Amino acid sequence: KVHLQITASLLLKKYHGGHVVIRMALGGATNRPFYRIVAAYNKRSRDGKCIEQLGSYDPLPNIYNEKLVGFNYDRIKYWMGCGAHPTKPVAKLLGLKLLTLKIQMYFQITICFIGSW
Amino acid sequence: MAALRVARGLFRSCRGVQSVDYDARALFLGARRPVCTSSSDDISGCEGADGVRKAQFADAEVQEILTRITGLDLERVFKPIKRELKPPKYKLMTDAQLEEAVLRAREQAGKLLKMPLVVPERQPIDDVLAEDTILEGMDTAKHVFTDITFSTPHRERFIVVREPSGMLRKATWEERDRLIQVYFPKEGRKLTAPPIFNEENLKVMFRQDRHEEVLNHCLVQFEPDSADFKKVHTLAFEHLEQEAKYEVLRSTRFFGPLVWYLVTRRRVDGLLTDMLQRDRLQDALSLVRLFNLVHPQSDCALQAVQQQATGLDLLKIFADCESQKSGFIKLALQTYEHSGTDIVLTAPQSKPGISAQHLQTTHGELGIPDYRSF
Repeated sequence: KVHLQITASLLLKKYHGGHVVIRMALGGATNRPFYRIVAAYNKRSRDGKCIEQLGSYDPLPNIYNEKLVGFNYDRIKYWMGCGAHPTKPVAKLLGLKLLTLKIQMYFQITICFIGSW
Repeated sequence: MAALRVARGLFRSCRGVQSVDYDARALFLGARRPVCTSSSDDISGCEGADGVRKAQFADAEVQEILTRITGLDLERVFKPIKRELKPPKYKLMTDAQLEEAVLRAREQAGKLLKMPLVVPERQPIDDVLAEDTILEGMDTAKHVFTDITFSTPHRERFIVVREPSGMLRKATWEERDRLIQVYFPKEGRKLTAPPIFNEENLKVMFRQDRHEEVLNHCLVQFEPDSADFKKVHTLAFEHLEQEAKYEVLRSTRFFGPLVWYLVTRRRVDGLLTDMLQRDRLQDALSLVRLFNLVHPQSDCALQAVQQQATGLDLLKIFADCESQKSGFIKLALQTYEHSGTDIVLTAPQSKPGISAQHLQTTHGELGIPDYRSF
């Protein structure tokens, strides 16, 4: 059994064509979500081992009607510089207009197409 | 965490605080703020109307006077506080070792007596960064974005709020304090101010003469330039001034701020009479000197500079110009003159059987009993 374990670790998890993403990992409890904003490999499981935690997001508002978002901007800039892709919700929180613009454009194009019929 | 045992009844009873069980000092001994070394504005402002520079709280001379007035009562500073029960340690020492230990204790006491900052109240933040009406109605709740970079100082941290109307603004001071406590919790600090800082509960504490505990708790809970901090300190100092219970805070780290508060408001009489009653002549002189430093344009200061007065003359000038209880001060000065006590700063002579009276008269540098003489 020991022999098998050693070979498994030797293989390592070198992802073929994988890339780093900045995404939300879900935690919390039933009916109480809590997201950690995390830099992880694309192929990893959502809540699994990440490279680094870059912040948190609490989707439920607190007694002051605030949704708390914490960002480690220093490290996020580093990972974005390394070529990490943020997912849509993360991009929305970060205030990156590019990604949301693309979707908007697609929307407008399809609506125009449908409208012209 | 060492138990900060505030009575649970605080939250249940609506009658207010009856008795509070405090482990405050055990925790708050660690919460020591450094004395501000850079010049900071005070209530009096940096320069008077006529360009004469007024003394600030952080000036070296002012600090030195305040530390001298505070005194160093080892018994008081190292008063037993509620801690984890441990069996006592006994040490067998020679006289020399005992002196060394006392010296080290004095140094430690000096560190413990470092005064908390007295800074002007902070201005409210109302800075709008962007007005994106396009985002209006996206959400019903505010989004608060905090920069969690570990290396930035808390004062320079970016904390912004995106309102449901799409407005992006900087967070207010209260929101800032709360969020920094959420992400970088400080021991002993709560997210919302505990009910002890309500007016009625504060009054109960003051009635029980527990100003020091309250002020220690306040130091940990609030920032030194916040409105709540100033309010608690003002209430405490006003109560002490009214009741003339200066002894409560003597030889604690809050005596300096108390003296500063009174001097800047020119209400020194009570404190001065209290000092003279307790035969602390050196303290009284330092107090008058401090007054002259802070109000260099007052009659008292100008006359003192004219006549180059020292010692009892200073007190006489002060009694003539500024004080309302000049009668009492002059009487006390006369008794001193008649008794012929030497008021020059001298080290206490090690005579056998030193009495408490002698200790207080020759207060000067060393305010601790001389163990060698017993």
